[in-house]
Amino acid sequence: MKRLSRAICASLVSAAALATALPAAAQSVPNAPTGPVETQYYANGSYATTTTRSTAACDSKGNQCDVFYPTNIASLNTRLPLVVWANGTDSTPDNYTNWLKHLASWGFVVVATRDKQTGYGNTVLDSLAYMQAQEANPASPFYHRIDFTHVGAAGHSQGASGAANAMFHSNGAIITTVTFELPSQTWCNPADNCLLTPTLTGGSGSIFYVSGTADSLIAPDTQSGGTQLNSQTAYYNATPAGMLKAKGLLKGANHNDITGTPGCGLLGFLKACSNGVYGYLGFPTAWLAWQLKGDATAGAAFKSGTGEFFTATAWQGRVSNIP
Amino acid sequence: MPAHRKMLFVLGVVAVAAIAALIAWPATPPAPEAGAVVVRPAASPSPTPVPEPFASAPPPRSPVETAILASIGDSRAELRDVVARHDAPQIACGEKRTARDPVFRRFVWLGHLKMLATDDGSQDFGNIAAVCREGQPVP
Repeated sequence: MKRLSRAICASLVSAAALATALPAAAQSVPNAPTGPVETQYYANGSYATTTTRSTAACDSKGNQCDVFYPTNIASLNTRLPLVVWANGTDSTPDNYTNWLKHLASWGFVVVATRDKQTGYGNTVLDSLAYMQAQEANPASPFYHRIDFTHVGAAGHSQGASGAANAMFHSNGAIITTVTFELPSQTWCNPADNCLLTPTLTGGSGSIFYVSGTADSLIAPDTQSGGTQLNSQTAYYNATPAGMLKAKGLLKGANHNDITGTPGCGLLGFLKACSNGVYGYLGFPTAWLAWQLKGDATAGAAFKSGTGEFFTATAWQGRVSNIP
Repeated sequence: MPAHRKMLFVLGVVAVAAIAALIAWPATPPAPEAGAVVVRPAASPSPTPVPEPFASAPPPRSPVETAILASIGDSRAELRDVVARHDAPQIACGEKRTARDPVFRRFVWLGHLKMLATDDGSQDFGNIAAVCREGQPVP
């Protein structure tokens, strides 16, 4: 009995250590990267990061914004691309710190409203306007530090809708979006608090749809039929051919794996988190690096049928129209 | 890690998870027809359903109903026949109507994700509604 107790205690300590470890040993974690581009962007970038919170409301609903950025932003010679982040239902940026800091470590400035209902995308656009005001404020650390010709959006669940809506309603200010677990339209609640079909089919920009194979209830790869967009494939197919687009599902990932820090913790199954954030670090970051920082090698990874994305072992359901 | 240690580790994690689950999921009082939620046929587009008048005095609400209504964000929304799964009380199913859609339609509520799906008459919703049954995998 004593031995068993000791073993359980040891297991607990090991599990706790595992839950807090950084994804350094790529092959020992779920959804590990396999190719050079995914491996490169799976690792943290070279920048140390800082997080700040706006002292006042940054959106029209009175929420504050969190900003994740390279610590040495003031001494950098170039302006940095901006990513506007949209939280899932009832979530704040606190749920995504691992992912958001990862982006900042690669030289992105990330602004995230603390709005818990981001589906319409209006507060996401508000956060963009907030950063534009910061860029023009000599007292701000972001004064003349942001490259507003390279702005992307990303979001999770309801926030995936919010990120896409923000891009499609930004009049071209936001040029690309990465959606994580974009819910089927069946889950739109209320109906217009999601990515509506006319918005998508009339849109422009580029988009990368990312989901997980264990999220088959909310963001499945395929659907049985019907006119609603109830799958990642339906969203992809409805995306105008003139837009650069890609879609892929991370094997075994459930709805909340993007919230992993970096694993799911011992009670992850209660939160619909199966593997943790690991697999989401590589290709989504590479997509943003391609679209917002001009990394052509990262872009080549998404080349239809032959790019590295199509041979990565952690992914399935992949498609793109990248030439 | 040697195989026996690995097994001990897995057993330990499972045991802790099971204890935590027992703590986190207190038993709920038995409800009639537990798990047999949503047995009515899906609302179909034709013939057009006739809206029923809204009740004047809302009945007392359970915590799960309060959470569902909060997510809908419509002060005129109504719920009926709401039943939570015994083995996964974060999942509830029933029927709802709103001011904008005044016909009672089936819904599925995933409380842990704050997600609500509404019956659109498609087979996909039928697949989603399967999660209302006891013993089904929890998303």
